[in-house]
Amino acid sequence: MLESLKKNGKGIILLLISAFSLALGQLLWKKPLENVDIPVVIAQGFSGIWLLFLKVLPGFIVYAIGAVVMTIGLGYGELSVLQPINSMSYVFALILSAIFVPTETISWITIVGVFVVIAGVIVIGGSSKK
Amino acid sequence: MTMNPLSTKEIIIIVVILLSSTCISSLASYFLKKASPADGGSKLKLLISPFFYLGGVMYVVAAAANIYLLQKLPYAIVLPLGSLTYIWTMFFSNRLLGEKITGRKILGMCIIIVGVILVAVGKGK
Repeated sequence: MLESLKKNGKGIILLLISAFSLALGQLLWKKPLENVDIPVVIAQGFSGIWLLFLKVLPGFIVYAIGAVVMTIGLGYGELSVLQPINSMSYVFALILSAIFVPTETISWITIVGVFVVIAGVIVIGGSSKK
Repeated sequence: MTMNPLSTKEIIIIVVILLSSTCISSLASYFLKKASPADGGSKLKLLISPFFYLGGVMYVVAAAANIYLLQKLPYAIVLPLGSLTYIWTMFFSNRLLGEKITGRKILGMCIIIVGVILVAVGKGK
């Protein structure tokens, strides 16, 4: 396990950062879209669409940074070990929504699921022998 | 949100989209790995790699397919089915990169899939 952490360690950390960006980016572009009436925006013409674009832009920038970090991370270690770490974005999404959208209730089944995902990532993260 | 029962034709379309979108998403990460610069030199070299943009576009295609699936099937089903991506990745990393499929990797993947199913079931409530 230590051997694998040494070999994939940088990759694992970078993939965790990219999974976090994925969750944060999603929160940043989905939230502003929730109360948007698309036909109304289109009726406003260019200014409406531009405003909508500016609203979702931060989310897309975070996404793009996440993609760059992921690409660098995949260079450190095996794809079959690193790619499944993307599943941590569900965990980060849950933590972020608990912080920023406290009105949303979180079911205990989801919380159990989050710990199971973490367990799976630990098993896979420590799995490489070469 | 109510969903109409699906016809046989729709089910076939959904299965095909599901298999291809998860496959595309998995290949996208393969291309991003190819775009990743080797040790030494600037990491930002990846920005001039065509594989980086190919992978990015493939992710967008997979995301669009996911939005389509969410209109046809409930979230609690679409989310776990997206885990097929991990199975594709195991396959491609073995075929294209010569990585070993170990029992431990399969175990970890199965645990992750179970976790994603639980997350989805909890959210679907």
